[in-house]
Amino acid sequence: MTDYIELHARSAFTFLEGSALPEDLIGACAQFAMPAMAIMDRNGLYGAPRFHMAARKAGLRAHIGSEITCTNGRTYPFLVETREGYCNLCRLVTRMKLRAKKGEGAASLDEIAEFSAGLICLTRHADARLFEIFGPRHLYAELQRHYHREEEAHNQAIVESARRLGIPIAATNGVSYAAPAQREMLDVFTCIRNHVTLMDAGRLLERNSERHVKTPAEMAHLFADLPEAIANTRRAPRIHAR
Amino acid sequence: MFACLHGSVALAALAFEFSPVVEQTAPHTVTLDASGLDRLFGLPQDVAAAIARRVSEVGIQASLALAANPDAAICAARGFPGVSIIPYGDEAKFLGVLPLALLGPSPELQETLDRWGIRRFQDMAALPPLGIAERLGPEGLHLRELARGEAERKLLPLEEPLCFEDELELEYPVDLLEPLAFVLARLINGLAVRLATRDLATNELRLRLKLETRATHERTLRLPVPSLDTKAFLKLLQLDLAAHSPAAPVVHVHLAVAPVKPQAAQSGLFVPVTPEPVKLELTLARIQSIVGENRVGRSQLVDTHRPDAFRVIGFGGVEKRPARGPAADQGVRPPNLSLRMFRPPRAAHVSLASGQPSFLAADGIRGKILDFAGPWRTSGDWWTADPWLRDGWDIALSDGALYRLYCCPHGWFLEGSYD
Repeated sequence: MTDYIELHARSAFTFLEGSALPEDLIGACAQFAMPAMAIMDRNGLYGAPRFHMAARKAGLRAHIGSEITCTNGRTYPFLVETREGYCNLCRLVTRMKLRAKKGEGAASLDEIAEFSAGLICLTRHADARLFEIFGPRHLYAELQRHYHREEEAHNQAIVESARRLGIPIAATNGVSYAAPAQREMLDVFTCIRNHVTLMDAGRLLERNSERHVKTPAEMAHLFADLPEAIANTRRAPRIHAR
Repeated sequence: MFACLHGSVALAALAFEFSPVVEQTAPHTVTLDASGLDRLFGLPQDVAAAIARRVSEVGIQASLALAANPDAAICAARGFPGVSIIPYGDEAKFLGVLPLALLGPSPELQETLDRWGIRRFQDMAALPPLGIAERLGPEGLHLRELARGEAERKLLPLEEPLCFEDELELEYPVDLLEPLAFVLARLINGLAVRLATRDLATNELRLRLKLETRATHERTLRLPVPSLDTKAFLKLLQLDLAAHSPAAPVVHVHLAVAPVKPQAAQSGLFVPVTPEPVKLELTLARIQSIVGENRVGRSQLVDTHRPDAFRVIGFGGVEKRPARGPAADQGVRPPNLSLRMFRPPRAAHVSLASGQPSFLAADGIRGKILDFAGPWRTSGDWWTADPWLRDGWDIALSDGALYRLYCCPHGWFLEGSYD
């Protein structure tokens, strides 16, 4: 048995960007004997209650987080570490939503710094500013592998950057659906979101069907050259808030 | 001289066959300027006979009247069945028996005239103009002019619809291309003349052939630039019909062209002379008849994750830029290596060790795989009858050469080599 737990799973509550219900994600998690999983819906905690209830029912541990859109155009995944972190994440989401139209809104790096206590940042864009906000213990460089040539080149840059900053790396699969077959539904959602047909969607669609919940063994095999990225998934969410 | 046709159907198309100045007087009444028709047909009786003959040819029930002014012709066409010819100066006498209601006076005026006992054109025509002006005003005077057939006005011409179509019913079924070419040439020449008189050209020819089996054979030819070169049009149609011949003998030919403004551009003095676009199109059509359809044109990348996907489009089309996909937004640097693609990809035999390629044997290439990167997995088009799924590897052989290898449901293939 490996140490991997999935820390970056998006549910269908991220409207038209995820195609699995929170219960489906927990079902896959239980099927693969994964002790915990983290839900990270976009700019909100919409799927968290159902995810938490399903996890409790299955005897698993649910980690809560959210992908927050930043005014610099990037999206930062934040994972709740403590009860204070949960409160801060809710306040951050509330503040950015109150001043924008529905479906829009972004938080500035200053606001992220203001509400950073109790949060862990998993990011593919780690830089000095984030290091200054979260420090080496709460900032993780996120690696994802979907059998994609350009993504792997980006991963190498992330690993170099993490070593330079002295922060740990963590592997996730950026889950958007529970099973490979649900990729088709996500493709259809993508078409609806972009107002195009499947024939015209082109590269807006998924490149392959690899954003599903993978077994710990699969992930360990995928990151065989970076075992610490797998091991760190257990160390990252030192959750105290229950 | 003016002619008026009054019937129960739209008559404008028929009127345009005789005159370019046609007024749609009412939904089922058209008036046309017939001056000049006497040079073609002779006396007014002959003009009327020619129009009446055409009316009966197309199977329309309509009354026809010819007069020196349009309103007299309109009144006669509406009031008398068949053909009426009003001699110049006899309008009041000719129209006198018609009921006054035919002129459509206002209800108040109609009521007044009824009370006075004025019910026919001749009654109205006999009234003194000064008394009418005092009692009935300008409307009464106009009504008197109409009743006497003296009203003069100009027609409000209808814009002729720009419809460039022609058709021909063949006397016997034609199954050879050569006799069909004569028919096509006749239609093309006629349409080209019609286009030329309006200073127009065409860049699209639509041919519809009705076959002996009652089926329809349709072909559309598009040209890169508008032209009026009838010889080129005919040759293009011949080549297209040779490549896509009708399934049965042809009994009816319909040809339509799209009217567009001709392109006029002056080439530079020092710019190399290029072939005429229509002649180039003809040459390309000849090449296409040899190599096959969709095999002549330029390649265009397709917006898809499918590796090496492209399509062949014609030279005249406007290139549509592929939409930017998510991968294009990551700011990833392009690889520094150049890849020489093998076209077609070379079939390969690959030995696996722990699920990964370990030995390669292909046409002229053989060796142990010392290092590899991959697999790079793509899949898509799951909603079509032609979905794809493939895993690719970048491999280094024992001789130091680098190759790109892929595996798909059809087997293993060597896609190219890195410089």
